[in-house]
Amino acid sequence: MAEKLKIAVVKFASCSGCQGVLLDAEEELPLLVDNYLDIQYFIEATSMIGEGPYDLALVEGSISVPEDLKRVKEIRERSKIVATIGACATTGGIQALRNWASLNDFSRIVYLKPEWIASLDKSTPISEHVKVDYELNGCPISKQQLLDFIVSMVIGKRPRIERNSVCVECKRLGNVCVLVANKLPCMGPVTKAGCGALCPSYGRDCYSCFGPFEDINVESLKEKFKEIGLKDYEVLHKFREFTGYSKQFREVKV
Amino acid sequence: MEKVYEVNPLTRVEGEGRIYVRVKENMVEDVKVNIYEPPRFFEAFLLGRSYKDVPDIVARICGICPVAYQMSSTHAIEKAFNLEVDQAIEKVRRLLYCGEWIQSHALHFFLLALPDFFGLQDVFELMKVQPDVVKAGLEVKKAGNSIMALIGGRSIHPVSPCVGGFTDLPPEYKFKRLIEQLKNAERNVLKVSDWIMENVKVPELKHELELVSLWDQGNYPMIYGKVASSSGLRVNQEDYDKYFEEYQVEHSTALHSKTKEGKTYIVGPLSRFKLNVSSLYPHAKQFAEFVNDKNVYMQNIARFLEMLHSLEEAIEILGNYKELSRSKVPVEPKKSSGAWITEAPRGMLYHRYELDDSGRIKSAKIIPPTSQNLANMEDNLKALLESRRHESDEELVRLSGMLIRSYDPCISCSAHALQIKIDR
Repeated sequence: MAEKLKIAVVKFASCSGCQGVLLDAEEELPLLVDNYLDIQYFIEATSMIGEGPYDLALVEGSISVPEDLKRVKEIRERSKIVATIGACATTGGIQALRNWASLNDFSRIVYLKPEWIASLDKSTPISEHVKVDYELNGCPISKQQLLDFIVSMVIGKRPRIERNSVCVECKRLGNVCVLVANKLPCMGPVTKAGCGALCPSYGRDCYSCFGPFEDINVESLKEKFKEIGLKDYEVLHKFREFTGYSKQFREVKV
Repeated sequence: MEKVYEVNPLTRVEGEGRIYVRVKENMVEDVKVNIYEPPRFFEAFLLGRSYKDVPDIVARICGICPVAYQMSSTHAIEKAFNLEVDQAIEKVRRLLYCGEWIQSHALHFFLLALPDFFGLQDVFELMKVQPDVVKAGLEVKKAGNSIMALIGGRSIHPVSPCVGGFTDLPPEYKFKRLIEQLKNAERNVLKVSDWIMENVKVPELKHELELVSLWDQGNYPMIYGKVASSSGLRVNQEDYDKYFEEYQVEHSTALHSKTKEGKTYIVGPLSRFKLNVSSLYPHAKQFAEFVNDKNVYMQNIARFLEMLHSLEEAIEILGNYKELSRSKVPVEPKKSSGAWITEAPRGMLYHRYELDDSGRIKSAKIIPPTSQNLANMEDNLKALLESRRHESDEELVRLSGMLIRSYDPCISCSAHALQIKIDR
């Protein structure tokens, strides 16, 4: 058998949900570890601290504090392949909502002594700091996409890239359109597929936790949201949530 | 002579932190649990958002206990709006919360804590020596996740919980179909439970604890109850901030908490166990004698018992489940404020919101369990190092790591903090 893939699971600013997806693979993970994966670094799961080099680094979280600027470069240098996992690492995450405000004001709201808190002005995706080879979307990522990706890396095949929108997933499932039928501000038309159209399947509007796909029409969706009665700030907040600092959403204005 | 110990990074915990200890002439001079998890400023960016966005956003504070954040926030906002939610909806919320307790407790007990008791680095090593125990643990974890995925669409950051109830719920037969999976998981974990009680020997630490949890007369507390303590406190939730306060320390991006008299206190499984043991279901209660609530390391055993309890209760709720006439009640925003505490897997989670007449957030306050426990962790560590000062450095580092891990600390939550460092 070929040598096992040496992997590191690394966390920056985040909730640990995306690394949790790996731990939620209760049936698959033991098999992967037995046969294909050599977990060298994964603070939440093991006391083993392997310094690298790694074949694959799965990177969760955004860059938001000064020390992490250095740490992310070290991870890049030690890893053959860097893949971001989830909305924080791929687009800056929910904590990027502060990118439109003054850090000082924000720190003052939460902390009595903001001078003790070292933080960068912005929360940014990994790709703004180092070269990223693959990006997995979602808040959190989908377990199936993660496992497909890991298996692709193990056998050395190109991973499958999702090119559809959530609307396509809804059509496949035969869901009634929540935007048209229920007048809910659904982000499905501009959002990358991968979740299995979860929100519409539960009778609600998609909040774009998988982020935008490439060829989207933001203006038309904004108009639609206004037409169903959303106020300007509500339209803006639809785009500024879990993937608000993605390239396609960050310039959206109302 | 001065000496520094460091446990850095602290592993098999959620998030990033370390322990730092400085010992001089055999006296412990300084103990710090450093939280260097990046601060994320949730209370700031919630300002101006609609109440509708709140349960989705606050869930992202924690990928392990998102439902706790959704339940504290929805109840706090419903309180502000003076909204009464159907009992049947509240039952489904409790079932969802049971799912979160099951998966979170199983993750901590089997994957993060258990390797310590066998001198191993992780669950992957443990799997080779105790395959049946790990297999049973993973099966329980999966069962908890299945409950969450059914009700919420996915186990991490469920999509259906909202102010007023659930956006929608699956048909009744899907609830019923879960029962068999849960019963199998329960049967298999009960088969290894006696073995666990006999073989998981936690270290001894005698140190006075102020145990604080909700107390929900007759029910094991999750979403309702008064705030109670081992020293006899029984007060309504809205009076929480009259008895407890938060403060900032320089070495942490997580705020700390103490009682107004300046005492540290502990929240979580051991506190809930102490104050609500009579409400545990039979599978858990049969092992109650194994828990000594004066030893903080016993949090591990109390957590295991709570996992058995939630599994048994989830099966009961599913057995009685009938399709709801509606999954949510209509919501009418109003200018007001509301606070609520629920029991996250790691202990009391306090949320308070002030809203304007269109339902936009004017102020938010969130106090997670791990923040409340940080000062107590430092106190316990000091007691541990003083009572064991003659042990080797290696042993002290091991015991310190296990001590912090017994809290199942959630550092992402607390920095919405851990490395271990010992200076001798």
